[in-house]
Amino acid sequence: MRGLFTNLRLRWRALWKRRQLESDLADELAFHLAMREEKNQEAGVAESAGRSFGNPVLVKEDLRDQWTFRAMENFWRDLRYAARMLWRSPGFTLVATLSLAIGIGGNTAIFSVVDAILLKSLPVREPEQLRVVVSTGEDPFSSHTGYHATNRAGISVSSSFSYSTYQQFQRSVRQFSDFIGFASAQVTVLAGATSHYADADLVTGNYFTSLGVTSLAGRTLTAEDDRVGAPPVAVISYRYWERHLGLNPEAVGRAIFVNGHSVTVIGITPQAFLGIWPGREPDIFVPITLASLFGHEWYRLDDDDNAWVQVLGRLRPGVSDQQAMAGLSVVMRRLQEAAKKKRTGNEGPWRPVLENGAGGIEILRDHAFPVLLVLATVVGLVLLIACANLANLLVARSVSRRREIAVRLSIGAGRWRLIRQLFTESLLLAAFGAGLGLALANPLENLVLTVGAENAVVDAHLDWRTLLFTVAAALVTALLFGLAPAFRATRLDLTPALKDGAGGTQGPSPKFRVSRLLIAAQVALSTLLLAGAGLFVRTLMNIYRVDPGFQTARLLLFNVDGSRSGYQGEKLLGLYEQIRGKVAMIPGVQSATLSDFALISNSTSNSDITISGYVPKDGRPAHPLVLRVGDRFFSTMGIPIFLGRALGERDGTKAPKAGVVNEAFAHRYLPKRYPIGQYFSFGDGTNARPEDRIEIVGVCRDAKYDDLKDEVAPTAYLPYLQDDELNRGMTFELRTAMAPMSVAGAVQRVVAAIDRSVPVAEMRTQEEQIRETLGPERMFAGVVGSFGAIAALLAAIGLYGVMAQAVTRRTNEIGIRMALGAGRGDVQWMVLRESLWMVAAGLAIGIPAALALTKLVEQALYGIKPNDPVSFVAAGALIVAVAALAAWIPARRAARVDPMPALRCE
Amino acid sequence: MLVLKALARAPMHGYDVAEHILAWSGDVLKVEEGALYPALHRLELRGLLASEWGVSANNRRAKYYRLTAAGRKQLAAESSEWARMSGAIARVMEA
Repeated sequence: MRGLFTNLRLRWRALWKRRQLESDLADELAFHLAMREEKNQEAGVAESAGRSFGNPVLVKEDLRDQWTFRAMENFWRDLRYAARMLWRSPGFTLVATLSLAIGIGGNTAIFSVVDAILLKSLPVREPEQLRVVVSTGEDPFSSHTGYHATNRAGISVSSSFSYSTYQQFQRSVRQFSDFIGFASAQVTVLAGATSHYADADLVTGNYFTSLGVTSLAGRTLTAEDDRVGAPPVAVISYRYWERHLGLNPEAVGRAIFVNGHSVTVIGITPQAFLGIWPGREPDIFVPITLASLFGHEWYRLDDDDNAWVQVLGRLRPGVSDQQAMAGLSVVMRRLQEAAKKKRTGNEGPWRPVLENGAGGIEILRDHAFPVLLVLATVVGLVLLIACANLANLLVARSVSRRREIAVRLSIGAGRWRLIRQLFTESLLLAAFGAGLGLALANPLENLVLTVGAENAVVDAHLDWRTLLFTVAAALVTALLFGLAPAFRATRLDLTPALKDGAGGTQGPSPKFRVSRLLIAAQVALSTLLLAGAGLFVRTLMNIYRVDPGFQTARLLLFNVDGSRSGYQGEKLLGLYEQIRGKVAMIPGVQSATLSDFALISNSTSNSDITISGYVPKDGRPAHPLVLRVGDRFFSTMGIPIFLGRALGERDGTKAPKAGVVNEAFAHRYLPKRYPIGQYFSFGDGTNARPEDRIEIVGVCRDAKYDDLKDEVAPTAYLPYLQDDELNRGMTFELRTAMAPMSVAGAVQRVVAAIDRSVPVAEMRTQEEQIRETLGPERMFAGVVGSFGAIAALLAAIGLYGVMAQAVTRRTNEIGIRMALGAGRGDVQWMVLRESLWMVAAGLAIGIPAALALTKLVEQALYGIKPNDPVSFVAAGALIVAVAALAAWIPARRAARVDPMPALRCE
Repeated sequence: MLVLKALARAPMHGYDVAEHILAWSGDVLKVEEGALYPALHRLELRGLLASEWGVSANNRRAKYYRLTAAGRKQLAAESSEWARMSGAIARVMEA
């Protein structure tokens, strides 16, 4: 060990005194030879000193190798040589670097998103012990807040439990060391002079201690804070602290007003902690016992009928998932027997399901998985194409460097040495590409995240994992594109290579076979990408072409929730009416209305109703969508009324209940009847009072409600003023005369003038609202389209490179042909034909491959089949056109060959 | 081992090492001079020898090698191992 250290020290010193080392070695050997010479002369021996010594040059080389870091120095020398060679062909270097940067950058971006969403664990203590506890089957709850979803195992699960279920888990399921309960809610915060909406997580007192998350400043919640009657406190997230409190260190200890209640900020979470639901970062954490103040009305600690608490458990070491589920089942069976709601037996029994909780709640992962899979495939293909392209360019380059390589081989350079040299060039290119790719990765990644994950806050940034991935990608890329050309380039028949660089008239040599295959492969992959791009672009176009049934232009939307600023019942309705009246008077606003959801926002409400004279089919009651709307809703949104009248001022709080239904409602539930004057009521109608009956006063045209893609469902529009239980936020809709956003400032001022504790949120145009719901579609079309275009461009560059090289090599041949009477057209056609063969081969592989692969994305398409002929023909035509253009340039050059000099060359 | 042994007496340059070994062995062990220098340098790089430049008896610049502490230890280890081995071989031959 010490010997190694001395060795490195001595050699390191020698590294800096290279000239000294050289002269020392020379002197030492010279001294020896001189001494020997003298001795021999004294002894009268006739032999020369060199004879007993051997070859002094070889000895010296041996000595020098001992003293220097030969491999490293060679590498350094290769690197410098490679840099010089690349510098001398800037065009090649630029194309290579750019194409690699796009390939590597795309992969890096996707990797960091995949890593953040799918691979990374939460920054908590021993995340592998965490399990998300959900349930499947018929649960004993009558209402449920949270999510219902089909998990990756294909089981349809419900996320939430009642608070008492959580408590019993915590008390009696011994297989877990701890359970965390939490629920999300949107709250209104008044901090200082401004108010805003914030996402709150209502959490059990052990949330932070059990996760092992400490506070950045102040302290985290304790069991003591989560006690009924304890003073209200909150922990805020780093991002919230940054955004709303300007990172003010005195924020801890301050009071903020949450839904009008004074709450003391006791601590701030670390920057890396984004809650346990990836993509949904809470702004503030409050004890779950404050649910009645901050949560929805149905977040009630004492109501066993409501499921609203999501549960995360920490398994005890050594406990299997089966044992854990058995423990949970015992408690759940007991609860079900005690429940008010009896089993109908329509669904399977209620039982627990455990999901891996290391990455938090998995729902975002499940949604993002197919999207990311498509993107990863696309960027992977692009990198492959870039590699194939580069390999091709390198082969072409090696042809023009044949003579250089032949000379070096013939004066004794080892083949390995040359391969290493050539490979160093590839490595350098890959390094350039990776460097530029890293720079590209960040904007690309933001693009993917903003459009793809619907603005989810995900901890995706360039960290060492991403960096490692990039380095690995660069290395693999270099191996892929660099090794084979290096081997080929050094396998030379020296004599002809030295005799004549141009290669004579031997025609397309077998050397070009690989290039042709690579071109065909590139064409195939590009076809695949372009066909996919065509499908996604047409999907998006189809969706945009859908008639929403209302006028989307010049509509401004914003949300107001007065229920969390102390308004209730009639006061709340009064606030909304006041806002509607005031904003309608803003100059530039033509009319104003409101509804409980924005149209095309993927949110709806629905209800079972009973219609007089309607007999439910197969026992299922009528179940239309319901939208609560304000005065002038139909005229503002531009939804025509076909029959009867629209809802208006006369349908106030005290007026008889009225409603407008759409055509789908009329056709489905009132076939062959005149709808106006018919009545319906909510529920099964058994205990409906006469004044609860809703009279249908009008029929409107079908308009899209939750999204653009689905068929319009039967819908009832009802006055929001006649909703007895209205206790929530509303979306206002303003029809403007000019660009909608130009009145945004005035809207803010008007609402603040009414009550500054009522914030205006999510100011957006209707068109933006629609775009937001089309995130994945837009991203697929954009990303696949642009990468497809890049792929086609790369294939064209590759084709151009190979054909240009071929034409140069065959100048003599072409000269002879022309001398023998071939016309320019013939020559051009000869070159073009060769290129088109490659393209045809590529298409022959690419199109069937695309047909097979696009079936996998069928779900993401709208209005077209995965084998949509338009997309495929367009992709094929585009490829052929681009390839023809790329081949035409060398073909024209071939046709310009002047036979005389070409022949004289020979 | 022979090189180390030679240098155990006194620091000397490469030529003298070859000559000494030849002389002590009664002209039996003729050191391959081409291999001597690589061996010397290898030992130096292993830290068993140290070197410095000096002036030879006939006033020429020469590189003198001397044993380091590590070299001495190595020599002791190697010579005892050699004694063990040669003794063993001698016993076998006499048997």
